[in-house]
Amino acid sequence: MSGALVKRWFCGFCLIGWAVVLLHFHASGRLEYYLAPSFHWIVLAGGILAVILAFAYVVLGRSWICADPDCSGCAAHIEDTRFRSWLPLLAVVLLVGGAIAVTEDRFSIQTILNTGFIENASSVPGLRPSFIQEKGDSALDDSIFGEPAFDPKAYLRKTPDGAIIVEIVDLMFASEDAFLRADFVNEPVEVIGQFVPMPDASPQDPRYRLSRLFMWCCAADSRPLAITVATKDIPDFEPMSWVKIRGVARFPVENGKHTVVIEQHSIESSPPPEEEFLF
Amino acid sequence: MDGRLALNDFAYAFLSIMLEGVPFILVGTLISGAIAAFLPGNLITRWLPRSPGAAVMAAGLLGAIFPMCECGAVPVIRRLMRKGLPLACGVTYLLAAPIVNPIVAISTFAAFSGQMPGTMVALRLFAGYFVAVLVGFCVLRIPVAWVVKRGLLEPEPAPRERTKFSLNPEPAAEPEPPEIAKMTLRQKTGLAVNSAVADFLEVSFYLALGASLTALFKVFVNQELIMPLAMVEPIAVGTMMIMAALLSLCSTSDAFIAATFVLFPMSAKLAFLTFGPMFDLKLIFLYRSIFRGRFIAFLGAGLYIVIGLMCWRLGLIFQ
Repeated sequence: MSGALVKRWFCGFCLIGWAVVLLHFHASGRLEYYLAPSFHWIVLAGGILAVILAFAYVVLGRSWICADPDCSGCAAHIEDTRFRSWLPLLAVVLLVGGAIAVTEDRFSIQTILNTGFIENASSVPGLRPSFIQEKGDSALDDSIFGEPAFDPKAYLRKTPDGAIIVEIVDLMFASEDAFLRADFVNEPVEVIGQFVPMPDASPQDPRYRLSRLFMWCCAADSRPLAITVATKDIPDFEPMSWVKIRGVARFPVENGKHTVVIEQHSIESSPPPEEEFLF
Repeated sequence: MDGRLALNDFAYAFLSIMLEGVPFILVGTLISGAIAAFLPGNLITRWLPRSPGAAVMAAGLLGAIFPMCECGAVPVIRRLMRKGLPLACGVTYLLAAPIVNPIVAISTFAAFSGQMPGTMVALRLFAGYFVAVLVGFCVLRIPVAWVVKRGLLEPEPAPRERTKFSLNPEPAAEPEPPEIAKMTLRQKTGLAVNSAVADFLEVSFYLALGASLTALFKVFVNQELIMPLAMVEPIAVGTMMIMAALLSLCSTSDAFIAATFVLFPMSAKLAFLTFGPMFDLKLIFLYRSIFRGRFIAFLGAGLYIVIGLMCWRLGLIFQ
């Protein structure tokens, strides 16, 4: 087998490899942990494109260009032999293959801490309360920072024992908006999030964070949103594990601004929500 | 930090950047392959204004008609330069297109909703265009050999001995190689496929290098440490440009990240949005497929100083 043929097959293998990676992540649902939904069809299209390109390159490419076995180097052959170095290809194959092999599709607590928490909902473009997403965009203008456009009783879901089922993001918005805050203040709430210890909390006032990751485009640009939970004893959960807490929502004023603090009554391990990221 | 967790986090961040970037690079290299096979060599120079200055200014606006993200633009520009696009115009398009395009304008407006979105969009487009054209004018006065990669400047060898990734050293339109001119449509399609594959495999390597460094930054650098730097405006501007370079965000979405840095002044966010699409970690490696290391270093330093000073002064408009 000639060197040119081996190179052609290896380049084709790399392309097929990319096609498999893109299509696998899309088909398996793993893409949800890596990219925002608006990018998913682009990955699917990229995977299909890579398959077509690889097929054209490996199977059809040579016959399309130059069928002359004695060709000493026409323009087509120049392009055909242009990519001579194998090292970059091997590096990409090893990097991507190794990354797929070792990743658990989530960040550890250390990287989350490095990224820094967002506790101010209005500073996050694109972020909306969960009930706005359910009700549609038209509800947004009238219900945030203004009169509610619909009866809050209609959109607040409750557990059988009366606790309001709420998202972290709703409480963050409520801390900044008096109308929303009125629905939650001193009310029992149930909220799901990821447990984040707060090592610098005072032993006299034990606290931890409840967090959700918000993704704009890809996991590398995701930022954790967080609210504070006050408790009597710090619970013993793995950092970043999913928990469901019940407690009372308070909105104390700190540094001149309302903040969210849940007074925890109970905490239990929970399965992750259907969509682990907020988009 | 635990080594296993660090490796996991690095792999996760790295893969997410690659999955986001690779489809766009695929599209960019397909376009570059089509250019290689189907675009007549002298067509670009016929379209551009004859005056070099006017041509550079026109190149700065091409992104509005042919919007490209910064990753996809690199293989396209490299190919266009082989086809006769003047170097200064290529550099101008490369710097301007990721900012001066409708997709970025819309996303910036959406991201800065409630934070003077119209002003931010107008200043971002202006700053991106102005800086790109300024660099284009500078490149007009620099010898081509100083800008373009060393291996790409050697005389065209015989086909079999030709160096890899060669680029036409003279940016003037070269006559079409006789073999391409004589090719049938079927052969040209094959040539386009081969060119696209070669470009994709090369550019994806540079993307992987940039994504690796960005992932390392994400995993090992505590971003909260920079928050105290937001208090003094010139320092905040410089800090945000370094952040933009390290985070290596896509220009279509970087505004959403910039808007979350609430403590930083608007001038610093503008610098973030202007510098990042022109010069970041992944782009340094992508630029290596075209430019000499010395030019890339001067480009980075020059952009940092010019954009920093300009955005600092433009910040007065927000007050």
